[in-house]
Amino acid sequence: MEKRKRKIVLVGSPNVGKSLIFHNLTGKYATVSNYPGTTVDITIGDIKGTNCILIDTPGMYSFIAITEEEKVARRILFDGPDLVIHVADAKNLERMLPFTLQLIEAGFNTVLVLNAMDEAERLGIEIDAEELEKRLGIPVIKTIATQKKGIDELKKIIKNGFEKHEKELIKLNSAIGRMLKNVSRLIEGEYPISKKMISILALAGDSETLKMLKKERNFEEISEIAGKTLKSYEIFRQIQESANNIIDGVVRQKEIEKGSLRDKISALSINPYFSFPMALFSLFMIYLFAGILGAQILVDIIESGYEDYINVPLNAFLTENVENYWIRELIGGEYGVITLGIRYAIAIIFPIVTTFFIAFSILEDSGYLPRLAALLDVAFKKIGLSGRAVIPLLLGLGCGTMATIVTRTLETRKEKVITTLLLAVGIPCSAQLGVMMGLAPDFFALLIWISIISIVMLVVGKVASKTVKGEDSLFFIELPPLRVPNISNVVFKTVTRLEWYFKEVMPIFVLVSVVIWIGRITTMFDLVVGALAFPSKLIGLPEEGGLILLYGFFRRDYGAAGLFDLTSKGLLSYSQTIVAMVTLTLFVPCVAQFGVMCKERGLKTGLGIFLIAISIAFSVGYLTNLLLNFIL
Amino acid sequence: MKEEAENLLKELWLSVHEGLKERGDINDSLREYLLDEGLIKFVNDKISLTEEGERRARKIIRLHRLAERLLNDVLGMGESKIEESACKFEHIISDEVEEAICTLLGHPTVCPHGFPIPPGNCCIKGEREVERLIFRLSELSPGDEGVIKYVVGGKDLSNKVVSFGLLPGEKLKIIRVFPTFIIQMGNTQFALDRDLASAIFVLKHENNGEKKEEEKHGFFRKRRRKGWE
Repeated sequence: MEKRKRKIVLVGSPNVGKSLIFHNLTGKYATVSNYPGTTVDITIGDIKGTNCILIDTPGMYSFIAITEEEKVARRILFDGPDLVIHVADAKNLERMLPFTLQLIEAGFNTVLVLNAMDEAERLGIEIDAEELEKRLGIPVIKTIATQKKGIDELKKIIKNGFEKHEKELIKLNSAIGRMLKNVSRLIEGEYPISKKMISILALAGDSETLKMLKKERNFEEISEIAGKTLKSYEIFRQIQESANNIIDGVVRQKEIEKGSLRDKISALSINPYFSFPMALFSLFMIYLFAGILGAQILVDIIESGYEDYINVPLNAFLTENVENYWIRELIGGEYGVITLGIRYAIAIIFPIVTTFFIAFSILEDSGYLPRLAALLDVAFKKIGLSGRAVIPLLLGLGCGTMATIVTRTLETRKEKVITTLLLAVGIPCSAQLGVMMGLAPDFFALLIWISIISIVMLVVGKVASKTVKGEDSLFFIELPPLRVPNISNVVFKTVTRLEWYFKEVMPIFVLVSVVIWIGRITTMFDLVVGALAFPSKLIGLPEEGGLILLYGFFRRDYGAAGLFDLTSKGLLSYSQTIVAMVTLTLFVPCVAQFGVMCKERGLKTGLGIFLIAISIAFSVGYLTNLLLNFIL
Repeated sequence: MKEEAENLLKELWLSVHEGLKERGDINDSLREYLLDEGLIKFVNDKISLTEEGERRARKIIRLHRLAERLLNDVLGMGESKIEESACKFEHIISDEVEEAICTLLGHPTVCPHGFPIPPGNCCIKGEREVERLIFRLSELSPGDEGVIKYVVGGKDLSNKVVSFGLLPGEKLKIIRVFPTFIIQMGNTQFALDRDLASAIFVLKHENNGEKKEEEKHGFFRKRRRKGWE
C-alpha cells in the first residue's frame, strides 16, 4: 500500500512571501503579490523529491479569524497538518512572533521561516537564529525567497523532520491566567489544537471556537467566563509580551544611514501632492499599455492576420466542400465557432487581457497598490466602500468576472455587494475598454462617455451606500516597502492569470457561437433580438443594437466587438455611437460574470443587480440620447 | 464611616446598572447614616438609591475607573496594585482634580477592564485646558510619537485591532494624517482610516525643544497648582 502523503501547510500574514516560497518548494506558481489578500484560492502542490504535499493558505495575522479568507486558512490548520511552516517577515519579527507562539502552543509541528532577510539587513537588523531556535524549541530558518536563498535548508528539514522541544511559550498571568486555568479545566472534549490554545481562543471570545465548544458539558460555565469582559485585548497584549521577552537579545538593531533614494520615493508615494498625480500617471501607463498597445496596435495586427489566414481560406474551403448551409454556418460564416468565437477570443481578447495583466502585475509587485488604496480610502468611504475596494475595481478593468471573485478579500457584506454592483454596472472590462477606445470617433466622444459613466458610478455608489444594509468597513492596510518588480515573477503571474482566463473564457466563446447558431436555426434568437429592438430604438439606436446588447450579455467584450463591426460598416452616426458606447458599458455584465455574481452574492442579490444594471443601461442611454440631440 | 458608606452606594449602583450581585451585609449604623444623609430609601423593605444617592454612586464609579486608567496607562502599575489604589483614590479626589485627570487622559470612555466610565461635565464640555497626555490617534499630527495605551470599541473592533498587532505598549510614529492616517510601527508603515484612528488612544511622547509645548507646560503648571494643592 502506498504510504500516506505528508501534509504541510504554509501560513503567515499577507505579504511576507508565502507564495514565492511555495513556488520555490514546488516549482509551481501561486500568485505572488504585494497586496495583502490576493491569494484567494488555495494552491496545492507536491514538494519535489519528497512524499509531501504543500498547501498555501490565504494570509492570516493570528488565530483569531475575521475575514472569510482567514477563516479558510484556519480551517486548513484545524484539518491536522503534519507540519506547519510559518513564514514571517524578518524585519518585523516582533509583530510576527506572537503567531508563531500561538502555532507552537496549539501543538503544531512548526518551523519558523524568517523571509526577506535582505530587506531586514538593509535596515540594519541582525537576528541570532540559533538562539531563537533554542528559546522556541523549533527550527528557525533564514531565507531570501526572491533569490532562492535558504530554500535548500528548509527542504532538508521538511525531508528529515526535526526534534521539537516542548516549552511553555505563552505566559498569561494575573486574572487572565487564572481564567485560563478555569476554562481549560472545564473543557473535556478532543480538539484539533491543544487545550491551552482552545481555551485562549474561547477567552478571547472567538465566536467560531465557542461554536465548537457548544457540545461541551460545561459549555454554560465556559461561555460565562468567556463572556465577561473585553479580555481579548489583554490576552493578546500578554502574548505579545511573551514574544517580546523571547526576542530580547535575539534581534539587534544596528545604526544605519537613512535617506536612500528608495526611502525618498517611498515617502513621496504617500504624499498626497505627489501621489494623486502618481496615481493618474500609473492609470495612464496602464491605458497606454493595455488600451493603446494591446487594444489597438496588437489587436489590429492579430485580427487582420486571423482574417487573412484563417477566416478567408476557411470560408472558401467550407463553400467548396460542405453542402449543408447550417453546418457551414456553425463553423464559419459570420457567427461561426472559428470565424467569430475563437477569433474574438484570440484576436481581440488575448492581446488586451495579456497587456492588462502584465501592467497590473507590475503595479502589484511594486507595492504600489496598497498605497493607492490608502490614497483613495477617503473618497471611497463616500460611496460606502473602503480603500481596499480599489483592487477588485481596478482588476475589473481587466476582467469583471475575476474581479467579482476577488471581492472575497473585502471585509463586510455591504462592501462586497456595492463593489459587485459597481463592477456589474459601470466598470468596463479590458476587452470592452479596448474596443471602446477604438470605437470612439474622437476625443470629445470619449470624454462624454467617461463623464457619463463616472457620474452614473458615483450616483449608484452613493445610493447603494445608503440603501445596502450592513456595517461600514474599517480600513487598515500594511504599506509594504516599494520593490522593483522582478521580471520573472511578473511573467509567471501573468501566465498563471492568462491560463485561468483562457480556461474560463474559451469554452464560453465557443458556446456563445453555438448558442447563436441554435438561436438562428430555431428563430428563437430573432424573437429576443426583436424584443430588445424596441428599447434599442427607444434610445435612438438602429435595430441591430438589440443584437449587440444580446451578444453583450453572452460576453461583454463580445458585444463591444459587435459594436465595433457595426461602426466600421458605417451604420452608426456620431451621437448613436456614443449612446451605444454608454448603454453597452452599463448593460448587464457578461454571462460569466453574472454566474459568478450569483455564486458569490447569492441568487437573489445576483438577480437584483442584473435587473438594476438593465434598467440603468436603458434609462441612462435614453437620457444620453436626449442630451446629445440637444447639444449637438 | 464615609468610605464604607460610599462602597455600599457603589455596590447598589452596580447591581442596578451592571447586573452585579449585591452583597447585602449592611449594619444598622451604616443604614442609619445613609438614611440620615438621604442617600438610600426603603420601598417594600427593598433598599434602593435616592436621586442624590444615585448621583454620588455614579461619581464614585467614575472616579474609581478614572483612577484605574491613570494608574494603568500613565503610571504603568500592575493589576493588583491598581485595584487597591483605585479603591482608595475614589474616596479622596475633589471635583477639580477629577476634571483635570479626565482631561489629561483624553476623556476616556471605558476602564482598563472594559467597563464604561460615566461621563462627567468635563467630558460633555470636552475641556482641553489641562495639557493632555493621552490622545486619540486621530488627534495627533505628523511627527508625533507615542505608545498605544488602549482601544475603545466593541468586541469586533478590538479583535480586529488585536490581530493587526496594534497592542498596548506598541510604539508608533505618525507619518501622515491626510488623506488617510499613516503610522510607522517597527519597520513597517500602515494606513488606517479615521474611525479606526479615533478608537486608538495613545500616550504621546513629549516633543522636546518646541516653544509651543513649553507655553502649554506653563499653563498646565499654573492650573495644576490650583487643582492639586
